[in-house]
Amino acid sequence: MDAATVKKISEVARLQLSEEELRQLTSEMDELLGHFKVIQDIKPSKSGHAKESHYMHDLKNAMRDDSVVKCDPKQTESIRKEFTKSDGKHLTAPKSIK
Amino acid sequence: MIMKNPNHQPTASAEENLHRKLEAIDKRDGEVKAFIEVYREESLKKAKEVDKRIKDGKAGPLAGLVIAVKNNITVKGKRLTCASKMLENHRAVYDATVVERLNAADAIIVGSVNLDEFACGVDGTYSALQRTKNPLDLERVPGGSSAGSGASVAAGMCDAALGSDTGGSVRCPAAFCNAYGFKPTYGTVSRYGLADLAMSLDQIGIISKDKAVMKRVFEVIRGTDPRDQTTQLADAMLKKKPAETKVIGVPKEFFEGVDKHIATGVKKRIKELEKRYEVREVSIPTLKYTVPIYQLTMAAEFSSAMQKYDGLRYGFAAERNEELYTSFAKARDAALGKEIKRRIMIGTYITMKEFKDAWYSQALKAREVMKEEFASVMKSIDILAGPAMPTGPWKFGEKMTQLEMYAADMLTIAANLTGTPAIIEPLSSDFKDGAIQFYGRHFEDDALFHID
Repeated sequence: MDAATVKKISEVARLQLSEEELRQLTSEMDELLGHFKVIQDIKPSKSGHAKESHYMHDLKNAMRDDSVVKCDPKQTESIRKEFTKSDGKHLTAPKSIK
Repeated sequence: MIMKNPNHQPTASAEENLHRKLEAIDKRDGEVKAFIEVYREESLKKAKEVDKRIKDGKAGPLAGLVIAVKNNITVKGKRLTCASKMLENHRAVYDATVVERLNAADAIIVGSVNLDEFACGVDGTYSALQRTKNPLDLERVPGGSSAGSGASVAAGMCDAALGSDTGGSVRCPAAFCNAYGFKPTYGTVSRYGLADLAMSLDQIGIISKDKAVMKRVFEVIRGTDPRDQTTQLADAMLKKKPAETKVIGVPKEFFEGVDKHIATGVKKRIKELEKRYEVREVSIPTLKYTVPIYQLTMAAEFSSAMQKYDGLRYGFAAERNEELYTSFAKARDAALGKEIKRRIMIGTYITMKEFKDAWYSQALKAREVMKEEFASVMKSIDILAGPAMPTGPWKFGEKMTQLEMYAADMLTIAANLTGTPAIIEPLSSDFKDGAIQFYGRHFEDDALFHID
């Protein structure tokens, strides 16, 4: 793994890392992934096809009926208090379109 | 004063029990540092109400039990820090389903307890807020990631504690703090209100010094919750009576790399079990690969789960004088710890289009192989047994590589990868003797409480 790849990953991961952090992560990721490579030796499942196991149980996508629930004003207020920056009513964020 | 609760078990009054626990907190938590927040006023008020309900014969099934909650589970109006600078001052705006159920059952939630940042760690030392110590030996780690859950139970600060278990995070601190630890079948307990680490592996579990108490808590928190789709099978499946335990399998792979002292103790305990059960040695070859399969699957899911922490909506505040991407990336760099960044980076890398097939897809295929091997073995075996942790709790500052840290989970993570329930039990009154672990079949969690 080279420094340029690690830099690219950090951009995709939305992490602004220092040069020192990038250097350290390059060597750590190299070492860890070097050890994790052994999974590439595992033969596909006995059932003959290479199934990917995402979940343990066979779950169905259960849809709920829409229902209108009146939000408790105290609840709304508590959510608003958690905004990192607000004009009182709305969450404010930096400009995303130049 | 001795009163009777609805289960007809003599116990101290809720208030007396709570006072004892608060005394233990006052006396020892200055050095142990298990609690992030103690809900003193609310718990005292609740204890009084519960005592009244006990008197009126209307109390719930957990009347008066004092419970601590890992601080990655929401308690309305209280801080939900996940032991991270990212959420240090964040207040939860709703109760987790497990918290609602505990409250409805008249348990008393005494406070929130420490953890490794976002539940990422094996010894409890990765909290960004405080260092929890093992109350049985203050020079040693309490185990992680549910460090405060294990420590608060061991120090007598609560009757039971909730934790979350993604790769062993309930069972490791239970083993290191010499208590019982239980991770239910995946999809048995609602994760609504749990800050997710890895969605296909996370399950809320319980630590207690009393196995019967642990079972009572489990009976209250389990069951289908429409707010967590993965619990959709729970009610129907849990109604079925588990098959009687007759055969115990001992995977030989479970003893590879385990401290001699612990392996000897576990084997001795298995020898005792031979008097009541048929014990057979079995082999599950993919157990050798648990650490890489887990690390890759978990990192992929974790990096995705962490995208919501952007410094804009809630939590650590981002700089507003820059464009969106820069403020987002700077906030994450400033507020997330080293281990979190490491996992996000690996997870991002292995799910990028050009690398996914070789890493993430391969890990999921390997997980399927492991699942099939387990299913095949469990056709003729009721319970699997082996050590819980390969070592006892190490001392703070002992030099360990990242790989050695990750390998400490090697005996617990297969239960998460396969979704099976698992329980750990101390081998003796000395925490250095280690613990035995039992794996059960999906939704046959109750069978694990009856092995003796």
